Amino acid sequence: MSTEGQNVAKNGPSALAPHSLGPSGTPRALNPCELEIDLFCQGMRINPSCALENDARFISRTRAGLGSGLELIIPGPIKDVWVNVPVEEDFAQQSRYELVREQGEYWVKDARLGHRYAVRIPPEPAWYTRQTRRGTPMHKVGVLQGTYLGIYISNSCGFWYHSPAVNCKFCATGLNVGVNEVARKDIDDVVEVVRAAKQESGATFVHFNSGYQTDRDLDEAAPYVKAVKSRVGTLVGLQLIPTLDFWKYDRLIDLGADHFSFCYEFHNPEYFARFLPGKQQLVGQQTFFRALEYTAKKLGKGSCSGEIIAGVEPLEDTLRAIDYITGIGAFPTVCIFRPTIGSDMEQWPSPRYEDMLVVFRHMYEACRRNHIPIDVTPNIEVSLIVQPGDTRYLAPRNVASSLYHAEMAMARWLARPYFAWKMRPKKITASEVLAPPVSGAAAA
Amino acid sequence: MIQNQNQPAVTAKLRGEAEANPLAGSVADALKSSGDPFEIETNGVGLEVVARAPLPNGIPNRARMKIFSPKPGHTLVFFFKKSLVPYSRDRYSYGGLDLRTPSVEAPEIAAWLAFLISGFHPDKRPENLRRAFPYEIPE
Repeated sequence: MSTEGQNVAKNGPSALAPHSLGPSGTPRALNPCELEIDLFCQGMRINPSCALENDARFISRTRAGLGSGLELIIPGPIKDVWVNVPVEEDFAQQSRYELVREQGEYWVKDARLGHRYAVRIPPEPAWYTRQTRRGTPMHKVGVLQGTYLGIYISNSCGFWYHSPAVNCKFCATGLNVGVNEVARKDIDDVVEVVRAAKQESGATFVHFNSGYQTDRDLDEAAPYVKAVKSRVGTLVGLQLIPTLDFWKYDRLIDLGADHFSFCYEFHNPEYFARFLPGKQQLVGQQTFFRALEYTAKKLGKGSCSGEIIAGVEPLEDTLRAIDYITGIGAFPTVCIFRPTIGSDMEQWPSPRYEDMLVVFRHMYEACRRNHIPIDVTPNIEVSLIVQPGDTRYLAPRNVASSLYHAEMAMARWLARPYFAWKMRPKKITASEVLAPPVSGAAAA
Repeated sequence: MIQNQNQPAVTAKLRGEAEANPLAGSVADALKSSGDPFEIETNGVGLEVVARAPLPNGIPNRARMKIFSPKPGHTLVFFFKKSLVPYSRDRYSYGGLDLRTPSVEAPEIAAWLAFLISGFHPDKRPENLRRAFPYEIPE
């Protein structure tokens, strides 16, 4: 991400600013990825010196509830790291980290070790406070989560409306709609907001997601994909409950979908069943695996992702998940478990930093071993997770890592014209009404 | 008890809400007779109650309840927390009730207050609480 126009002088070559008065033997300051991980685990308090009403983005807990945090950028020599820091949950009120503002600049102070870290607060986009032509506040249609635009396309999640409810235990989606977010997104509203995010915020990627829609999930997403690809032109990703009707993925790719992600959350089948009752009863873990494998093969290495939560199931299961995902050519999207307000797991502890460090070091190695492209797509910084690209800060200093980084730098350079082409509006002739092929249907 | 009930604005708010909605009057009476501390918000739509006793772990209780009528014949009871971020107007829903009758039995109101006092502990969820509560909630 560009640092043009931003005050980076005080940061020097590194984001790190170890406290000069620390006694000898004090643990070293964290690198940007380590700090990102620890902030996810510990959360952060906000000092009254902060002027976030002027300096920060509107906070909105849309989607599964993870957007409840404060967006920060941790500058660093390899890359700037975006992180959505928990600030609302009870555990964050007891964090040793505190955001302070001194002479107009922001720092995260570690009250225990005495370190302090320079950070930037991404400003609120001007379009957040505007309305669409239909009169809908734009921030109620979609919000930036890092540098990409996240849009929750439909009216909450069917798991919440079952009797009894079969919602995922970590999730707060069903609690948000109607309170913070427009329930049903109009296609013209979506197009307007995507255009504003692209033109004014430089967004290159729109991520549509949705809760359970009774196996109509992909059908309902199709018109949005076509509208955005044909009328605006950005990269489009879909995060939907999967189906074994694989031809639907083919049709969505025809409409321009660039990416599919599959939130199966837990690799351990017992944890999957226990914490995801709706996914267990109505979808099945194997459906996630088969759909991920199909789309990863169809779109190519590094195009699709398997999304998991770290910090709930045993560590070895999380590591196994990362190996599985990278082994089939997808990239791992690993969320550090956040006991979000209102969720059934609100009372659970936040994960331990030391455990999460093991997870993300493993993720780096798994990506490297499988040559998964990381940070190749332009300007996609996801603040809700530790991105594979962020874990370059955790890489061992050896020949293998250097070769991998060189390979990725080359891929980034070579892919530029491809992505420039991908982000132009396209004439799309395929129908947004998904229909099965007459013969030779792709199916499980 | 209602800690701020002697403030003129609170007195006026309680009177106005009770006149507009008998259920609000019943809830106000239950608050006054409760041994736990509550406060009334005077701004905004409906009767908004804030639990004031700290939680067992020492953290301030952030639980709130708003009672309002979006249209004749409906009373919504909405449970929520406010954002801790000074400038944020985000609200954290813990679900609600859509009541079609003007009166509610005292034990049901007591269950709502117990849910508030607990800081919205899952074990204290009122019977019939709708966690997915897709209503536009005014401030």
